[in-house]
Amino acid sequence: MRHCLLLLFTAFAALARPKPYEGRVLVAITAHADDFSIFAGGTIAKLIDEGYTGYLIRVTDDEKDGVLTAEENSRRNGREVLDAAKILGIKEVFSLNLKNDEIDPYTETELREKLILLFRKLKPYTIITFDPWAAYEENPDHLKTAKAVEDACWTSGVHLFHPEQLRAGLKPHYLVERYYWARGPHVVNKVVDISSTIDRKIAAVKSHGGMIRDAETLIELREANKQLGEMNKMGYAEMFHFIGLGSPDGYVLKNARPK
Amino acid sequence: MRAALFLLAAALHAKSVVVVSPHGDDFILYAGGTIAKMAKAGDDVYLVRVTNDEKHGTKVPMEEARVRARAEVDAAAKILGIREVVHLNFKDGELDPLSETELRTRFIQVFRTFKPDTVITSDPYTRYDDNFDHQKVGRAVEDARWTGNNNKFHPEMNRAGVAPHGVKSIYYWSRGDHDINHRVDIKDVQDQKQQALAAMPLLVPRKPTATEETFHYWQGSGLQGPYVEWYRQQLASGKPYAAPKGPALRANAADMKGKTLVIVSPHADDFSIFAGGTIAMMAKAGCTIYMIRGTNDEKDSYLLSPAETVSRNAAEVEDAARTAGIKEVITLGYKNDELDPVSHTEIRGRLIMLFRLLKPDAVMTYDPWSLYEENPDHVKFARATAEAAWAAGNDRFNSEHFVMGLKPHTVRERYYFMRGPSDINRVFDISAVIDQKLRTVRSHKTMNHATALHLKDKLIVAGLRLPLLDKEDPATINKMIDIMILEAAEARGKQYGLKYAEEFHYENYE
Repeated sequence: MRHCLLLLFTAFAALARPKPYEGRVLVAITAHADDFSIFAGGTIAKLIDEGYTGYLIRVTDDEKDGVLTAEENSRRNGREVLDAAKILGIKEVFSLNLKNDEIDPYTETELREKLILLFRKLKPYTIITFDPWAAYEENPDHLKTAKAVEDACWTSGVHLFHPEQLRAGLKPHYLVERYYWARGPHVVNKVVDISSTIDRKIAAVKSHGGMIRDAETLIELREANKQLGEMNKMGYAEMFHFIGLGSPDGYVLKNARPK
Repeated sequence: MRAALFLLAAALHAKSVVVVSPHGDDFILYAGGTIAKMAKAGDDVYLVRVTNDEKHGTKVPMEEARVRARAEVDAAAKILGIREVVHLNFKDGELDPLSETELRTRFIQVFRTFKPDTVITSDPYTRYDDNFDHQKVGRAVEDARWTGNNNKFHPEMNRAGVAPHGVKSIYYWSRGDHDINHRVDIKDVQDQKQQALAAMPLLVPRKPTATEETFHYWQGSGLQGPYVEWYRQQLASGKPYAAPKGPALRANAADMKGKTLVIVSPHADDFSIFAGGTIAMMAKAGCTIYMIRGTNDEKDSYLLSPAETVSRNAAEVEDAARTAGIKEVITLGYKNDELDPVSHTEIRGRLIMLFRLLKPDAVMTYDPWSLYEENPDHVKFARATAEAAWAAGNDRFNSEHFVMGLKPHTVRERYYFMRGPSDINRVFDISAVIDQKLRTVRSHKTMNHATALHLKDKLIVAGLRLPLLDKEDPATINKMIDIMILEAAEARGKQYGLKYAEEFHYENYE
């Protein structure tokens, strides 16, 4: 119920704001049900407020995170991710259902193929996921997901990758921007002010009740986002390694004109 | 300081300690003193030796080496006060085909059995350590540390009465660059470490066969001063890597006069884009240069068929190599951009053969430790090259080559080029050969056409257009590629007061 009120409030608040990114698509790729909301929930909600249409790709089946049996964990976490996505304004969730914490034997090529297909179908302008180059990332699901995404970002634009998808009606697609989040040290070059979306972010994280079982986590997360914000003269913030079209001083961006 | 003392005390009074050593010599070189101190303080120290060490020693048959290595590890472990050694006996230097999940299972079993408070092993985040067994073991240990404490992992162990167990702290050693935040003074147990080393004539040979590095350990000093062992304690400082090195040195291509260079270029155009100028200068200086091209480049074209793409790129790489002054191109022909299922050991074996055949003084390829490298082919070939450079000199690797009359050959010098952040320590001034570099890159007509038109596609998604690319004729493509190459060479040169430059990470194992 509280979520409904929050959504209603959000809808009005969003109507009042300008939407500079109308028509753009955001795809978040999360290894587990809760990663995207914890590390980037505020930024995702903000981009959606600003006009993006948001989608979520969830890679694993989350069978090992929770106090229930593997089967029940998977079912509960799979339902809760839909709630979290809804709160952030995400339109649809695609679950790839790879085996949680046993992702190693899947080849990167195989995971990449699934991502290329979805990128070509959803046509993202921006993706957001784990940083494949962060240090001290001890969860192999995070790393493998990040590496496959990084690889899919450029291969989805090339016609020689998976021509069978082209035969089925998809077209090669290049995406423009990447946001990488991390829990270990990485090269941070973008801090996003999430003051307008922090409440929804925390609500989204809270909805992963099967995975976030300690109320303290929510308080700590809010505090961490607040501290990062203060360090950057913002209310609340999230940080990323960002890759866009390249240096603004380079030939390409200096000479490019609106289409 | 007090925190450091506390850490030391906590580490030294742990009740149970598991040391995971990729090879039979790693635990003693990097942690022998620490282990002796812990055992002396009353801790139960257990050793897990992962590989069978069959590649150690020269002149000793491989089967004999395995038996002797095991006995040496048992003897050294006894001297250090280790209670028990578990020999996992995986194949030395060939851990790659093993899934991480399987290796992790072994470690989970060990952790749940010995219930360690502290684990000591090799740092998976180290850079410029070119033995990838170390990385694989470190990574699986890191993963086992937390998965071992979760009852969702391996319910069959729960059924057998082996309960989940949480490891409290973990210490990582490394011989490469890593974030050292914990040092252990081993002066008082140095004699014990020396005795244990003396029990390992095969695994840690004395001079003259010992490497300079091993000699340091004999002397009680390592890379971090005398009588000290050094670690990264998990996440303690949160810095990604060790302190930066000194400024990059200006390098001279004439150093390569009379020498042989082998370039390992995963794709047809990698060498021209990142090192075309340096290669041209080395060739001019009298260096003999060969190039191994890793893949068949079947996916780099704009709207051509795979067959057409392969044949055009194969012809154009010959033009580029000739323009740069390369003597011969040898193509391995791996499937472009689908290298993931190919084993690292297989690629390394083919490179070892060619290194033994061509006997290069130096190899050149991508930096295996550069960050934000989005092409997995680059990383895979870079790692295989780094390992093949030393493994080619060890007669235990790919001994079938000797039937052809080849001999072991170590490649001493390595030049690594990069497109992401990396530890740059060599810079070449390529201003004098910049035109030759541009001509070399222009040879890759099919790839350049794809680069330009893919950029155009991407700009369209961003709602932009580049007037230069309104035309798509060869002259326009060349102009676009020239701009990109000059811009990169200028940006690299600017940092050193040069007009145009190329940058490398260089290593020399004299």
